Formats: sequence, structure tokens, C-alpha cells
Amino acid sequence: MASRHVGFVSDSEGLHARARVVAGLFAVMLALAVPSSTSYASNFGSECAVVNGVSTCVSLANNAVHNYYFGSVEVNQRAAVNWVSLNVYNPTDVNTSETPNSDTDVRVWDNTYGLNNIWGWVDCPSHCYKTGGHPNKTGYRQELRFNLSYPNAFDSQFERRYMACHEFGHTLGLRHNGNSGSCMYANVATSNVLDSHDVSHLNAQY
Amino acid sequence: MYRRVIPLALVGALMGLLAVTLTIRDSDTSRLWSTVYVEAVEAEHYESLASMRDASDAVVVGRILSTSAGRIFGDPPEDFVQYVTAVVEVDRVLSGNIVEIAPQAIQLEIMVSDPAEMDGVLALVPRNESVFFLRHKAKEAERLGMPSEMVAAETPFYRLVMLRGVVWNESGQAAVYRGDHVDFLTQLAGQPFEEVIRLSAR
Repeated sequence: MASRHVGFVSDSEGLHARARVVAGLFAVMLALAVPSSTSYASNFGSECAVVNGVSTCVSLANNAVHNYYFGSVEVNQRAAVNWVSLNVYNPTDVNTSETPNSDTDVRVWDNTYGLNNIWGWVDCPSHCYKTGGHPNKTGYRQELRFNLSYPNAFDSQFERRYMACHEFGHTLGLRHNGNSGSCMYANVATSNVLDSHDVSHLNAQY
Repeated sequence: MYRRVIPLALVGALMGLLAVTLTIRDSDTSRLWSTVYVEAVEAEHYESLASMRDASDAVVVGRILSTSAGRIFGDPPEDFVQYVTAVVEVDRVLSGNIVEIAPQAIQLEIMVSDPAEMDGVLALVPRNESVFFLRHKAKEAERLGMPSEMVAAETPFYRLVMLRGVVWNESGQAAVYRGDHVDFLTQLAGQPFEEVIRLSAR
């Protein structure tokens, strides 16, 4: 019995103390079991599910120098990407330019990827180098794709620039927003530039 | 007595934790749709369940019976995507006509942006009863003015009308892919699944 009365803890106090320890332990385990979620108050930061060690969707860039390589990309879409690099992203604290080196921040492609309802998207696939965890995960060698199975999505210069501005924004950690004055507005080509909210995110991060 | 009480409390706590963990673990259906989701500019997008329902070529209630690695588009080895072909067993057709590949079965194509993910996707068993909002790819190919042989090649296949165009049954409640989107689909989450079926019927 003596072994139960260690120090100055009475029976009753000992029970309560132990109960508190058990409850605390349980609370910690419970907290660890509940998956954390990223904050959705902002449209900035990495996001998406990780299954079997593979993550898709939006990543941050690893630094402010954010170069891109053209795989096979049609001339008009190249021009659109170059335009947003020069006129939309370089005026921010991000420094972007084309590079002939495929081992770089963003690899740009266009092709007929089939009828999947998607005009363009960004992915950080298995060969993309990742560091950190959500919402601060960074990616290097992200893939940016334009789907020419929907040729009408690339008819006009405005649409091509919208698409380029939107997808390039994803490669830097920008997510969709609800402002039609931003190219990060989802699914509708209403703008081919960023809004001040997007720019402040980029300048704060990079 | 306390020597017995404390271990029992610990065992109880661990069992509770196990139960909670099992409850909150994502189903394979949830994991499938979150894995194949990409942040994208989508050709079709909807602001309400009614508009998505009305625009669909077909709306069906069913479940995925099997998945297999399907068609490849692009230029392998660097620039390509691969689709999962999912055979969906159709329990109820809520609207539209379906092109069956077998009695009460259709083929749904799901893009896997990173083909290296294919094995992980195929390892999932996404069997939850679901409402699928479907676009018939042949009709879409025709509308896009594709050559007749390409239209014919698309005839056996459906896709979701948009990436998040599926609602599934998690223990009687509707579940959706949430991401950071707050919209009509997010608001369906947690509602009785039967009610979602009722709303999805034209």
C-alpha cells in the first residue's frame, strides 16, 4: 500500500491526478487522430490531399526565382505565358523567365489530353521535388498543362493569357478566389491579371 | 482498486480512440476523388445542384464495381496523362439515357494527371453508393466538331460533368470533395443521402 502514497499525494488527490493524466493523454491522442485542415480564409498556400505519398494540386514555389521551361507548347500559348511572366508576375517580388533547362521550377506543356472537362491545370507529380507540409509545401519541377482537346478555350489572346495567368498563379501557391477582377477567378476568363490581394500574397511570401 | 481502475480507463480510452480513428478515416471513395482532383480551369462549372443536374447527359445512382488503367493521351514518356476506367453499376437512372457496356453498367473515365499515381488509385476500393452527374463523351466530341471516328471512339465513355460532380453516401449522409470550395456541393455534405438523390432527380 505504501507504494501508492508517493510524496504528498493523498489517495483522492492521486486518483484525480491520475485521472487528469489519463484524460490529458486521451485528449492528446484524440487531437493527433483528428486530421488537421488548412485555413481556407485565404486563397494562398499549398493545398490538397496526399495519398500513398503522392500529392497533387497547389504548391508554393521554393524561392522568388521562378523559371519555366517550354516542353511542347504552341507558339500562341508560349506567347501568352511569356506575356504574363513579363507583365503580371515580374512586377511582383517574383522573378520569372523562360529557361531552356527542363530541370526547373515549372515545365509547361500543351497537348490533346482527352475530354476531361479541364482546359488547364497544374500538378506537382511524383518527380516534382517537395519540401515542407501543407499549407507551406513547396514544389520544384511542377507541371503546367493546357488541354488542346478543348481548342475553343484558346481561341482568343485574352483567353490564352487568362489561362496562363491562372495556372502560373497556381505554381506560386495562389488558389482560386471569388474576385472576377483576378485571373485566379475560377473557370471564367474575366481577367488576365492578378488583383491586389493576390499580389500582396506573393510579395509577402517571396 | 485504483490499480485496476487506471489501466481499465486507459484501455477504454484506447478503444475510444480506435473507434474515433476508424470513424474519421476517409473512405476509399473520398480518397479517390481527392487524389484525382486538380486545381483546374474547367470547361463546365455549375453554381447549383439544379443547374448541374439539368445540364448533365445523365444522372445515375450506383457504385463503382471495378477500376482499371485505361486510355493514355499525350506523348509518353514525358507529356501524357492516363485515365482510370471505372465500371459503374447503375442502380437507378435519375435522368437521361445511358449507354451501357453491359446490363446496368457504364464506363466512367477519371483522369490521373500523374501516371505514377495509377497504382495507388487502383488500390482504392471506392464502393460507396454515389450520385454521378455524367457527360457522355461522344456527345461532347460531336459538339466540339471532332471527326466521326473520334466521336465513335468516345461512345463507351462518360466523365463527370465537373471534377467534383459526384456525391457519395457515407453512413446515410451525403459526402463531397470539399477542397477549399464553399459552394452548393459543400452545403450538401452531411445532408441525408436520400434527400440528395431526391434533389438530383429531374
